Amino acid sequence: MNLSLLDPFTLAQDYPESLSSELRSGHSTCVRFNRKGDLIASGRLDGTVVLFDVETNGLARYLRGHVRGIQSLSWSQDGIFLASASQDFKVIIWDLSKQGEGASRTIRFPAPVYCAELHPKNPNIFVCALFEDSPYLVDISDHVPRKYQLTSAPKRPLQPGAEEGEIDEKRAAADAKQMTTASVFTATGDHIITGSNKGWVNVISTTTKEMIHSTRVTSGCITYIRLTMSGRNMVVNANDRVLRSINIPDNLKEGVDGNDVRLIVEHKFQDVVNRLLWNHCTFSGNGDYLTATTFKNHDIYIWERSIGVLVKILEGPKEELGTVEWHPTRPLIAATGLESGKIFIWATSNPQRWSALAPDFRELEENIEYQEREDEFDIHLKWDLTKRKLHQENEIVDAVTIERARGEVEDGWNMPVVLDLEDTESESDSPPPSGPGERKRKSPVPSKANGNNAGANGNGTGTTRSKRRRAD
Amino acid sequence: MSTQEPSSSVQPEQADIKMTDPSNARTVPNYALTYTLKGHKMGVSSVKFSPDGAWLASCSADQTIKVWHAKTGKYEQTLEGHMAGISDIDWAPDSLTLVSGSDDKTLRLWDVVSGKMLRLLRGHHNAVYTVAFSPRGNIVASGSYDEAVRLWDIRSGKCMKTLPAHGDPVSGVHFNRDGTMIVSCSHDGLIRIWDVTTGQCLRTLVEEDNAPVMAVKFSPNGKYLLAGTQDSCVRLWDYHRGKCLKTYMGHKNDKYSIFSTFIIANGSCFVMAGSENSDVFIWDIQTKEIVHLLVGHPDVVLGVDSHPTENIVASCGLDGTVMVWMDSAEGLDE
Repeated sequence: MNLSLLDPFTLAQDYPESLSSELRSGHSTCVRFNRKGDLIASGRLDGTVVLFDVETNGLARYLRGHVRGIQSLSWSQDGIFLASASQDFKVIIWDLSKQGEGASRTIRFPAPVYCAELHPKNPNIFVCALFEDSPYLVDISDHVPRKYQLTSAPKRPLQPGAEEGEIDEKRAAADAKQMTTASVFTATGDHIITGSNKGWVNVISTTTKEMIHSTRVTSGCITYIRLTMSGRNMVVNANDRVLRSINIPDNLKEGVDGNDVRLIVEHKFQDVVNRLLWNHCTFSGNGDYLTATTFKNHDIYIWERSIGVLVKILEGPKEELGTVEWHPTRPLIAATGLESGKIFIWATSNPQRWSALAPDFRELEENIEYQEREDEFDIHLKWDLTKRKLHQENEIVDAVTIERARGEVEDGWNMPVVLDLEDTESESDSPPPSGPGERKRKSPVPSKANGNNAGANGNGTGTTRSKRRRAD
Repeated sequence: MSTQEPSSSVQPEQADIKMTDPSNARTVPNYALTYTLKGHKMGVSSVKFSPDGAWLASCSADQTIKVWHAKTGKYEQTLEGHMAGISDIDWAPDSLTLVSGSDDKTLRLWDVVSGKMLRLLRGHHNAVYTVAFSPRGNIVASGSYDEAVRLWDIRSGKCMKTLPAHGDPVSGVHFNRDGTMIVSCSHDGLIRIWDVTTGQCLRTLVEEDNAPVMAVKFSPNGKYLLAGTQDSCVRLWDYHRGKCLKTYMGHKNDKYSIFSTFIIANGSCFVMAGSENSDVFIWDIQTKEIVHLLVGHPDVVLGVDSHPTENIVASCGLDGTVMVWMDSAEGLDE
């Protein structure tokens, strides 16, 4: 509602300019905004999930349940549910409308979880990718969660006339070794898109759980897949140092024939000079921009998606950044620092407009010569003026009907404000382990498993090294 | 006969238009004094219905807040703790928490169910004049005699922003419907609109005479502002155009901080304000005519509020009482 009074030049600014603030609670490993953009969830190294209020920059909620680092977070469309995936082999679905007992569901898996994403329409369904295991589609509508194992082997087109030969067997054996490293739902939730460590992008039907299409987009290991909010584009991050944006075909709907699906790479984003590896990437809320954090580098890159040009390199704090997230509606970017575990926020700077401070102030482009109005110094009787003014007040006003601006969503669900937050900040504010090596040793999961969690967020040097190993 | 026939066929149509056009459907509820709530030992400065319509809270110069059942007028409890008189209160959107601003320079948050104080917000350098909850319930805004507007993160109990808002005591603050803007008004005669995220001034409104503004409020849809000034006027502003659209007059206000508010009843909108000549005034929002006068208070009426869903209004004043007025037509039905 404040849009109509804001400076149009400020509004035209699509992406942030400078580091504006930082949030701190424990050592954050991943962050995610909810759809409305009023909350940001942060998963910590100690397994706690905290919610920050974007308006106040204050802590809004602690969610305790995991015992090891959080790998990924996913909000439901309405913002009531939050899914957190952790290295402790668990996915927890948090119901933020409740508190205490019964406010969360824990689902255990046989391996550490890279990422879990909630179905866009049904928060009782989620898909997750595990470390060195098959991905799962899970339905928790019933008391006992139903887990459906999904395949990782790509669906190769049938070779016409090819016989059951040695080569195909070999290939099948090789395919069976493929691992799914990333999984997301399409915007409708009809399909699941997964990425494998051999660079295949697979499309799986949510209803039949069958793989309907596969495309190999790279030879490297896919570490992350992200869709725009509209679901029309996706970006695939792979460890071949290239981000690929792919248009999601319009025909990818319930019941589509897999042979008709074409996943075509629209643009490749890379830094050819520095040969940078991308830690994490995301789209802006409207999908017009793509942003990524860089491995062993302090910068955040922002590209225009449709043309594919680099528009901005954000200077950051003096540390490498992990997860990066873009606010759903505002030009605001949040990223986690790998060393400090802080969440850094980049935003636009809005200087005060002087014309707002008094009704007769105007901002002028250049000097103008003042023209005296004909009646400017005429003397009127005051009561006469008042009477005339009162007489003119005949406009019909409607003070009740709510006119929603274009794109303005219904009020929807707001998380209740909890005033008695657990007072445990002293413990969580203890300084995090300093060096990457130390962190690796302290890391609760065996180093190999830990190393392979790179899917969502690099955990320092050790992680990225094993990320490469995984691609072999 | 023949000339009358066409006109009679037109009449029903006109009647239809009158029914659908809210500006013409002027049916003010027939408010009648139903309860007089006594208990405060001194003047009552503000009275507010809870957003769920269940409670009525009043605050007083006797340093207490009293909570009453909105429908029955039954006394519920007293919230005590402030060290000086209380100027203003406001409800959180969940109707469970109250915020109060006092001359002891502090704001306090209260759990209405248990009566316990939840937060003590310190920071103002002078008496707190006015308070407001944000629609999401995470921020409280306050205006003070120290001429600043402060925004508080109520979870942490810390001041988020201090806006150097005015050159005189800040007499009113209010959030708009979606919580993106705050309006503040002051004895310096200015009304200012602020962006909550950046803390910047977006617009300033001023009436030529610079009369001290005593209260300000966004309209229910957030398009207009209602501001009461010490020249005995209540004005409706279109803040986009910076123009005063309506002036409501007839009451008397040249000394006290008197509240004004909107009433939505029977499908149309009215404006209500207290007065120093001890009546409550209700104007038609379009014609600016006084359509109803609630007579009952023996002294200055300071605070007024209307029930969120039903045709009930409440008023309070220097006489130390809170009066609840209900639509007598509705009372007959029950």
